[in-house]
Amino acid sequence: MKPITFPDEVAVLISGEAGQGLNTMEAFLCHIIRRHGLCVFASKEIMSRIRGGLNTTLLRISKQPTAAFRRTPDLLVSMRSGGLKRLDERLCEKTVILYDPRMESAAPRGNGIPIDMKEIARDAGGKLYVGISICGILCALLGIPEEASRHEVEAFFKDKQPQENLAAFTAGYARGRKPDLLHSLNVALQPGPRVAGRLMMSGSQAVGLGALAGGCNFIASYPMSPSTGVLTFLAQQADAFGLLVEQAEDEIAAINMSLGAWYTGARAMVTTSGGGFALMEEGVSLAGITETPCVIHLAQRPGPGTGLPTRTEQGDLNLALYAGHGDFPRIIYAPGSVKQAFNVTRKAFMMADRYQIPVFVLTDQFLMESSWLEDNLSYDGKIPERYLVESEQDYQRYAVNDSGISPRAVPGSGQGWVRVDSDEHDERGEITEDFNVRVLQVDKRMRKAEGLEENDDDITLIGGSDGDIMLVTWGSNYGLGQELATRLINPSVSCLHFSRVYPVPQKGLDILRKAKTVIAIENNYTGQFGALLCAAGIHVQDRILQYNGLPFAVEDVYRSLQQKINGGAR
Amino acid sequence: MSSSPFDLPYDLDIAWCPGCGNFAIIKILKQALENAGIEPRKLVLVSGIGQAAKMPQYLQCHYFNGLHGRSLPVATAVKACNPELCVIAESGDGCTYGEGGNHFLHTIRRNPDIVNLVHNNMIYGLTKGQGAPTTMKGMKTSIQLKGYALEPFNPLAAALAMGAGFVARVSSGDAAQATTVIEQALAYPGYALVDIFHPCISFNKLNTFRWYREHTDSLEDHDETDLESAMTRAMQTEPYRLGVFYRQAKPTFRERSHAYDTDDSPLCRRDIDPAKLADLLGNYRIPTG
Repeated sequence: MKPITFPDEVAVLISGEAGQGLNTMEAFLCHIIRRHGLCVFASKEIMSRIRGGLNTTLLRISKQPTAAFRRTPDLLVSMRSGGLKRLDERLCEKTVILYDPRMESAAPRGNGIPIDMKEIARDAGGKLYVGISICGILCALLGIPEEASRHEVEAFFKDKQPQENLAAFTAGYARGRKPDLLHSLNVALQPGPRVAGRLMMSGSQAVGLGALAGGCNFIASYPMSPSTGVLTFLAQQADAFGLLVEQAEDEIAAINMSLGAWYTGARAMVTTSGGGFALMEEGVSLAGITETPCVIHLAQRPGPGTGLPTRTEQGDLNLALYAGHGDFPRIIYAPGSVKQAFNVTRKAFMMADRYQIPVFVLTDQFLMESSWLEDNLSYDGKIPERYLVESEQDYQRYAVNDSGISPRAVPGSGQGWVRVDSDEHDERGEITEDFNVRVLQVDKRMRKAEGLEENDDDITLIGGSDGDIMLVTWGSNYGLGQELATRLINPSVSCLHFSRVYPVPQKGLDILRKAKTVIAIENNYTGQFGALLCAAGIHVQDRILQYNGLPFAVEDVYRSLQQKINGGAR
Repeated sequence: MSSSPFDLPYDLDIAWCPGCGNFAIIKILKQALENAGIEPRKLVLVSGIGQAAKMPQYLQCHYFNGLHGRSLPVATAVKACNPELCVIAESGDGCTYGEGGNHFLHTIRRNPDIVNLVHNNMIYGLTKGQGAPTTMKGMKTSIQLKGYALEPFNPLAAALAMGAGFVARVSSGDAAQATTVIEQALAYPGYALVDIFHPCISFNKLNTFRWYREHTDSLEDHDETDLESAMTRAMQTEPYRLGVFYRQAKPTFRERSHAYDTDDSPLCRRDIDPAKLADLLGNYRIPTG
């Protein structure tokens, strides 16, 4: 077999069952490979169970950063019986497959390299250590020096069976140096200083850090995949940052607690997924009429119903957009990178406080659970402004004014009374059934929508604004759009990403009005954002949609776009 | 008419039926608040929806009149974020025990330092006379035409079973006892349930002023710290007992949440420490060398 060379990137797919330590392997490999000086983007795809099943993690190891999913790996490591069969459609004849012949009924098509998975870690401590042995093989293949690797293993596992892990790693490393592997794979990726100093984190961590930067000091939520990571993260930070973290009995309690917290001047957030958010809807409406700020992190997974609990989709834009009875303004952010996740979550607190409206941070499993690389988060260290006033004797919580933003006071501070009401109310906050007052208050609330500030970073344009073809992405497809626009290297193709999807930023609409062909790329069935663009008068000529529960694979979209472009998509 | 610091300085169109038991309860509440020395500007009334939930509108205080069934989570958070406030969650039986039943159970487990006043008239009033969780079996209503068939919810027994530290029942017909008990509830550090029997003169023709007088009696020879005796008496129906069934100090949500372990300042006034956050961000940086 002629060695297969990977000059720029090698995509490694590791498959195993829940309980085999795939998460640890991913974390360790990301750590050691980045320390070595290569970029890694890691995303996982897991089954909804605690043990067993077949999960995978994909590591795109490259010289230049990547931030999109690939369906077909260059190298597959199959740690569980039946893995090859299940992953067959993700493989091509070029894929190199490390597998255990005793676990599979047939040899893989393509380049199979048998590995005795049972044997490899036997001396180190048995099957629990297979994963770390595989890490040893991969480090050897990537040319990470053995001595340095061993140091990393010792540091990483210093509290977790350091000796066994080191022995298993060393055995794996030796296996990786054997001719059958070394001579069939040539990973010629030259490490560089390009990675040191960068940040690596998951989307969950980025949203959690953004919440802290936004001044979040209260979070009440009910666990639901894939939103729970944010709750876990903030629970870990609770002592250091003086937060109150409460696991509510249900999502209804969670959002009502968050409104109670904001009412006192605290800054609260809820984190949930579609089904849990459905329970919060009346709370969103309550925030709307009481003009209580509210920050909702909604991490999407495929629905309807329980759907695919551990997979990804962008199917809840309409849910966030139309949630809650009655008319009231709202903002929906949809970050596409950890930097955007940090920034928009922070901004969500500011906008919620300033306009006294519900603000959504709409993410998904792909963003939440992948491990991303980012240059910098540009944290300026400013204490968030509090949009509060001290109440005077004649304070009126719902004073009618030009901006529609009535100065907000909190109970226990000042001389006035802070009366908020879910019934229609007058300026004092008392129940009213006066038709004229009703109209005044509705108009006042809706006036806030007119003045919602837009920011330059609500959209990102990759390529020129005068191209013929404009790809539109939102949310977690930021990296996809970026890679497509770069790879297509065609001056007539650009990509416009929206990290704020509602209200649709005017600047984005202006760019789209000039584009000849608009192609919306979305991870849902109906093209929910495209529909929003159409409603704004944009002609969306074509759509690339996917709803199988996986993120878009960059090579699939690339192929499909090439066909459209060459075939003259007009 | 005697004046109270909780009187509104202006007239309002009160939405209760003439002769409603709520008129007695508002007087009792104002008196209890005054006796307990609560400062109006430190008082937040949180309510849900229903005729009882309109109570905050008629008092000089801060209020959060939220959604049906949801007063307890709001009240819990208000107290947690600003412990300097006195927080009362007040609503009816349907709001608290029906729509908000899950919150009722779990708020007791949390034990926030709030008072929960539940107007229990054993009927849905504002929606015009349907069965409530506490409606007596056999009562005919506009929906339960053949008589209400479900077992009545026993809020006191449920609260005791969930571990509530202050459980009481009063009747709006006995203002003196009701005032004293609510005053004690205000003084109790933790979740204090006061179920308030009172009539709905428009839609409950069974449980009238007279019925409550004839079917209730004060607790006698009862040790408030004896859970077993409290439970036995809570299960008793003829007569229904009135007074404080159970009183026992328990750790409050303030302690259980750990948010005040090292910092006494009200959570609502806490700011982020940017230096700490910058340090934390540094942990995610890939080290050089």
